[in-house]
Amino acid sequence: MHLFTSNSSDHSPKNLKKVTFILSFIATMLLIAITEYTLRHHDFYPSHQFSLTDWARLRLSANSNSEKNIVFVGASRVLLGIDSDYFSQQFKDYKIINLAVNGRSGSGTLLNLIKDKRFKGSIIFSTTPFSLREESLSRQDKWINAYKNLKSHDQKKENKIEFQLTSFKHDMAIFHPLLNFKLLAANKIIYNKDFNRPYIFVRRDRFLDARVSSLPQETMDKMRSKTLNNFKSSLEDTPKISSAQWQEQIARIYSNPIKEFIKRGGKLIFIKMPSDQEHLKLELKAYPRELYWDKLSSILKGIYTIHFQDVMGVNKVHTYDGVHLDNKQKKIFTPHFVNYLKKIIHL
Amino acid sequence: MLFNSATFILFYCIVIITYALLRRRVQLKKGLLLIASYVFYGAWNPPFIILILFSTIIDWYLAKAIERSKDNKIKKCYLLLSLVSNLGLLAIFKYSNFILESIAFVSKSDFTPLNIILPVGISFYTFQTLSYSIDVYRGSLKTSDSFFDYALYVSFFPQLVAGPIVRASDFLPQFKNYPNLNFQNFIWGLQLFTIGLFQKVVIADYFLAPIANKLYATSKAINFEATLVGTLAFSGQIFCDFSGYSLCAIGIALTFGFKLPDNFRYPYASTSFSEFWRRWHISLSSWLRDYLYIPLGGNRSSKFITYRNLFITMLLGGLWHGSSWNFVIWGALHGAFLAFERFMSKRVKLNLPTILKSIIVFILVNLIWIFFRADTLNSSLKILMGLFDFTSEKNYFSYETHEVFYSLGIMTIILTLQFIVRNKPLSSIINDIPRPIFFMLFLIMFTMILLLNGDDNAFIYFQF
Repeated sequence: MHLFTSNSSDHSPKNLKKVTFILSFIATMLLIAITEYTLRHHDFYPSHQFSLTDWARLRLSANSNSEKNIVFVGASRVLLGIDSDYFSQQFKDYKIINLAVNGRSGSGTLLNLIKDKRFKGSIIFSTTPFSLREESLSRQDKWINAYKNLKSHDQKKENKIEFQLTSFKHDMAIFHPLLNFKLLAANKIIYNKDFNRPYIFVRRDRFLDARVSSLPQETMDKMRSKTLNNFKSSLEDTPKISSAQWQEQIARIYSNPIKEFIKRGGKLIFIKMPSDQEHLKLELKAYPRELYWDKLSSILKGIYTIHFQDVMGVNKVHTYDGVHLDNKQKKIFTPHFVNYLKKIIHL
Repeated sequence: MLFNSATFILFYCIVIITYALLRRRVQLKKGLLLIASYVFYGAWNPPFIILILFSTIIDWYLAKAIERSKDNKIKKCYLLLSLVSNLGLLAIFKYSNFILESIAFVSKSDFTPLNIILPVGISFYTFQTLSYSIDVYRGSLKTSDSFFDYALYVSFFPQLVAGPIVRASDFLPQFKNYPNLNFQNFIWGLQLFTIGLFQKVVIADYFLAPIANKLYATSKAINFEATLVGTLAFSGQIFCDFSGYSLCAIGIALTFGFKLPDNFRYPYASTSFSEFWRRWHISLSSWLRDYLYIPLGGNRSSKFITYRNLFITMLLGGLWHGSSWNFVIWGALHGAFLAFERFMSKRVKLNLPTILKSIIVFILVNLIWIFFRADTLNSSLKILMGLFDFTSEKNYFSYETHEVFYSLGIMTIILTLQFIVRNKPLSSIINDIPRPIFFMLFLIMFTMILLLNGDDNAFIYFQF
């Protein structure tokens, strides 16, 4: 076999170092275990990154034609504000599906779900009068398109096996995206930047944990004023519309699909998640509650609305960045929210 | 089922453990490997198993008929039938859209692509079955006595979907002296698999692919720096991706005791284009040499015919990679450089230092890669023109500092290493590495393979 002359297989090395090879593998496993233990010891938690395809698969799983599905739709506020462990315990017979997307208003996903006749469950939709506007409808299009383009290949058994086999990664802190070797090395060697300790951790069910106990007060103050300024500029940059115009827009976009959805047994809860007083004041100035939020249930017949101001115990919350609950606060908020939910609706 | 997936590792563990338990029951072992190979292939798209079976059965019977026949004309007819059926499969599944699109372009009519899925690895296994029939026709190979041996040769899972393209004359004799599992081969196989996986998962997918992809996806203007960084990144990506796959395949086969041919020998250390093709995708270039270049006349006729043969061989080699004009141009350029090199070597004797020759060949190979990677001719030309644009403005595409660092750094290491060890087999490198360094190297490789993941982990050559 004249070809076998170089890389590989004609001759194995005389000194193959078999034991050293096996030892290096064992040492790797030990090294990873020790690193994982050390990270846990220093308050690093597992965090998982979800791809568009993962989201699309989740979205597909909502089409089970079962009324025992509860789907969360919205953005970071619901991702950070719901204690999914507590929520799941309270709704044991239900399948909880989290379709919220960080940083993106969920109106588009809401419409996609309620227009889909294969979906019959309940939807908890975290929103604000501002993000219900027409301009926000396309903000989750990338995710919705991934769902629409979900190919049969993506649902193959092989992928499911692969997902199961690699699911241990969800439970390991060492796979946190901020511990990205490429960036860590670049920050250290090229940019001379300090390591930014992660404080947001993505859970296996896609909900987020904000563990802010290690964040300096100064950082949190900066984050709060940044969020507030961003919100101010979004309000200023978006053309103002009167309450009447807003109501007409909401009715035009959502009314019919919601009517159809409720007719086939679906339940829809609009929730305004907690924010700081400063932030709320600014919002209420632009969108007074009685002219906007409180009008929702009369425009969209059959929906339920929950405003955090009405949920006792969390109505005067002070969050780490102005709009998001941290890990401890969500544990207080969720039971109040669930009680309130159970009072107004039987899911 | 990708080599870099947990599913494959599970699949492999089940197969190798069952294989080991079968001890000396050779027929059962072959049966197990055959079933495993079809499961491996079917994992992508089960109906395509029919296609590989079709190709296997057709060539099995045609080769037998060729061997039995005493009339040369009839032999030729059988061979022609084999060529038509194998190349027909390729034409239908791989080139239909390309042919129809080209016709539509010439006739200025509308073109709607046909919805044809390209069966993974079709270019590899049809070349294997073809070589079997041709070798039997030439009388250089006797047909296999056992259909199952032959079916296993066509479908052997380590090399089924992305090579190396194995010749029957190299593989079938191994069944006669059936290899037993041995610890030496097993460990060496695992070492090769680890090195291959490291090349693929860490260097190609994690470091270089995101950098290369950015350049070819941008709609912004491109300058010299961006072209340099992106092109070098792709150059490293394609080498590590493909040679990584080949090394994995060779390693996995070896753990079962089977030997596969080499596919790469430090190609970026080549000092000429002809040497490059003796070091890059060796199993394809030697296939093209033996079954296309030599039958065309090779270098036995006039100089002009030799240049023409080189050009045609590489042009078709380019087309083998994919059904697009970019691949044709890529192949044509390689053909042109090979012909030019041959033309010049008879006339001019340049005593350049080896390293300088290597650098020149590497630069040219890199430039030609642009056609290979870009989706369209326009996109290739845009990137090529970037080489002459030294503007640095805000509206230009630019890389982050660390991306420049990774692309240039990794490519410098790859080139330097390839140049230093250019004539040294991997086995002797492993042999010479001191134990503590060997330990550290594998520790780093294992750790990085397990912890670092790229965005896109499919092997580039699967699409061919």
